[in-house]
Amino acid sequence: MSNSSAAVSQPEPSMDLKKGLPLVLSKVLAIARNTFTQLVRMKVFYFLFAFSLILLVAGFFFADTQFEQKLKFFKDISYGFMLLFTTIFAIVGSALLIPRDIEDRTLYTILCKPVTRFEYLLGKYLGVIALVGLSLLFMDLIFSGALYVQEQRLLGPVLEAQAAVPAESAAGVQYATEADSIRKLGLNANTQKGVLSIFLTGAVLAAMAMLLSTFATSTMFTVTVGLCIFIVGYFQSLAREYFLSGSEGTWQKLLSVLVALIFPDFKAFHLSDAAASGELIANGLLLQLVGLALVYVVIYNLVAYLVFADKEV
Amino acid sequence: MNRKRLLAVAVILLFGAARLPVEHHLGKRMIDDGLQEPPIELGFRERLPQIGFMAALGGLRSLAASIFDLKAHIAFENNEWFANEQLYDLITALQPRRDSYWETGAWHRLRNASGHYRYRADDLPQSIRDRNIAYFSDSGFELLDLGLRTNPDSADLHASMAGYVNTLSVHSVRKDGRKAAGHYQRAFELTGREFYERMAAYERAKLPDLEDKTWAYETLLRHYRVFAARKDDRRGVPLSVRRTIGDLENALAIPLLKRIPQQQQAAPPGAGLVPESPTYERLQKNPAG
Amino acid sequence: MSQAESSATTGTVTSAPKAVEIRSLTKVFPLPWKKGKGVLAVDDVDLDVGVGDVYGLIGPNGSGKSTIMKALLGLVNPTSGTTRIFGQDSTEVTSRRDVGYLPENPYFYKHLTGAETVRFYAQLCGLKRRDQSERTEELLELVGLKDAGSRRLAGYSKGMLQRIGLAQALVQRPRLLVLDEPTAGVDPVGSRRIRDLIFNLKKQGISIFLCSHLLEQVQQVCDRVGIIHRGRIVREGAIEDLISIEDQSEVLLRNASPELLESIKALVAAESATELVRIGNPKTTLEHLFLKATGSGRDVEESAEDLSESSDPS
Repeated sequence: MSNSSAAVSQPEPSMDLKKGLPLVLSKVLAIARNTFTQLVRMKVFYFLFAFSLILLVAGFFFADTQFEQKLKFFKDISYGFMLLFTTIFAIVGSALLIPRDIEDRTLYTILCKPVTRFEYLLGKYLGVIALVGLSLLFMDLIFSGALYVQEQRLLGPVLEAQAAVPAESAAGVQYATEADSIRKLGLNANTQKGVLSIFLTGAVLAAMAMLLSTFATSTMFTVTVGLCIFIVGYFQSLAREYFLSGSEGTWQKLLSVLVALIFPDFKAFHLSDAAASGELIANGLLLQLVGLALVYVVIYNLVAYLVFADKEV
Repeated sequence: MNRKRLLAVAVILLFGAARLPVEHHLGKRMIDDGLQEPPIELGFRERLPQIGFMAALGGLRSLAASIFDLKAHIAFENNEWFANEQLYDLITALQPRRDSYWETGAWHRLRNASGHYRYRADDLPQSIRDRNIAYFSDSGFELLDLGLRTNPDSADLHASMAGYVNTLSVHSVRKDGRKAAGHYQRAFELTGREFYERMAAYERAKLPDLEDKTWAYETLLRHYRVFAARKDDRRGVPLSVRRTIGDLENALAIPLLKRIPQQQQAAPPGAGLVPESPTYERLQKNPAG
Repeated sequence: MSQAESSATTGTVTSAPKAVEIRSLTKVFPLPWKKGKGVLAVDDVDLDVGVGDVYGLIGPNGSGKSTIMKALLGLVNPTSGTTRIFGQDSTEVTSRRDVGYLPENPYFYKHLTGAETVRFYAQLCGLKRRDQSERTEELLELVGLKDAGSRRLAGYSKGMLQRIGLAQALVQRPRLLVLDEPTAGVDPVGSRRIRDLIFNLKKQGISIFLCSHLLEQVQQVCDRVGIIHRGRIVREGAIEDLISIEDQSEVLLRNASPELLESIKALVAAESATELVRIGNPKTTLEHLFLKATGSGRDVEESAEDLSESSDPS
């Protein structure tokens, strides 16, 4: 430490601090940036490289199936990986943050600054979402590149053969059908919509995990319960439809309505199967899903604040 | 529990109630748009392995189907036809709207399995071979019929079925001209590809009813005029069109002056192949092969 | 209008707000499995910290020191009572603009460097971008971590973490500093430096509220002390008043000859009401000895408490 008498500065006037919305943004973004850095520096990106390698290997490894199966399989596996990693990042990332801050007493130093608990939660959530989004973007780049290469490899010979025969002939029709199928299953806007649907799942999942971590007793609890909710969320639509169908059975109806009310419907965001099959996903529908995800996120963050507001740390 | 936490519980429940109709509507729309599969029939539960069942109820149907598809391909390579058959039953149950699965499953049964027992299974007694050939033929058609009932607007499945029942090819499994014509016609209606309409016409030209022959004649004449009008196409009018019109003109006693000009030549090699196929066309030009 | 101006206008006597005002603070931690019962951590505590004062709260482990601090900082909700910081209810977030807090055994984000840590807290306080770098540099210099500023906190020693903790607590130039065991686990050299820093901050007019169970250090730095036991304040007052032994006097001599000492003894003996309690060589402190032996005490000023060794006992 420097010589104490030399380091003494004259009494300073209070600092010129930000106010209003810039202050709120500054705090939230500082926490978000810090959360993002914290998660990234957990070496999580090593998983991304492993994923990329697996993708590239898997993509070219399954050879002697028909082109449709090859492309669809590649997309199914890729979407599956992306969903898996997004689920892990969203749940584990959110689950780690608040309990760790409490355990390390880092939370004290943050909440002792003029930071509201809502700003703290929002900053944490945005940090996790930034990680989920960027990871997904990285995976999408690798996936799209590999898919494009696969598509061109398959399309090339078909187009060449198609050019050599009249369009109206049996062969011409067959090649045209094949080319259309390859393009439908290849890299196009719907492929990216499938990736976006995975991001929406991750966003809702992260908000739900953040909510759990505000009252959870441990990280393990949050991760376990979060995964269970994620799985049940895929069956929530069955419970909902059972309840709405007016079927018999008091206990069954009670159970189904509880499941329908409490658990999120993750199946609603599941468009990756359709994207893998090359189905056309309407922009209007996608916008509705984005809106629904946004509402989920807002509600879960609001509820997390209500739970966390009076939590004694 | 303090007030804020009670409020939190209330918000969760109210939000749940508010989103019920929204998610119901969205779910229905996604099934109608073909973006999600309808709920799997619970009666199918016994035929699915545990993981398959969970995947079917959950969101991994496409991935599960792809993995089973890979397994089915391995079964094909190993000539395990009954395993292949079972797997395609699972696959089509998981993703009933993927017409390629119905097509491929039927192809394995109608061509590969049947072909194996017909030409390669020398170690089996003939009675068993005959029984299996019949079994897989029936199974293939059942699968394709179910696929068409599930996906009535799939041009590929209509074309595929027509391919197995047409009277024009030596490779068809069961000849049924009227059935073939119907499926070719439906494929044309769905895709607008005129080749399918001509195929329907070729089939109906061979049917005994005058109505069929008249329809075939008018259809093929229309196509003939289109081909004839194309000055830039060196190939001109396909031989199949010209020949079939000629047969129909005879059958319908069309006046000579109204008949199309015919090029006289012997029956070309390649007869029995699907008209307008590359091999057919090549053999028309070069009978020596 | 300030409270002082208000009192001048109205003619009523009101004092300027104190740095910390705690009134009738009680905190009961409920036991979830025993409805209606709980652990009484703080029991009806009143406590004031004047502007510019250094207040030390001392007590054994589990006496409620940290709970009082957390209640003041809004980390726990009082069961009853009020807490104010410069006149503002401390449960309001805005009251924390003027507070810097160093928790006991602080851990910060290990993935950040020292400089990143200070900058992070600067952002939380709303420092403008142009001030963040400058203030970070200034504080790292102040706490002696300028060279270690680019290293991640994962590689910091306990003393270094404590110093970074001080830096973040001071980042927005708070008027009140709350220190929970600021020298716990720190070596004597580091401990002295923290003590000196506290003196300097006091000279700048910063109010300091600290708790510790290192009594000697509290004695050195604090103006006022409160002793807490089982959640209650049992003694409180100015340090000098509290530690004076009223019926005894102390005289320290340097280079006194044996004859002079005998004269003094004779004088005392002549006074019937006065008793000679002890005459002999005063003791230095182990801390002073340590600092001299390790060469870290070159800048230490000798004070009434820091005596060099001498040889002749009485």
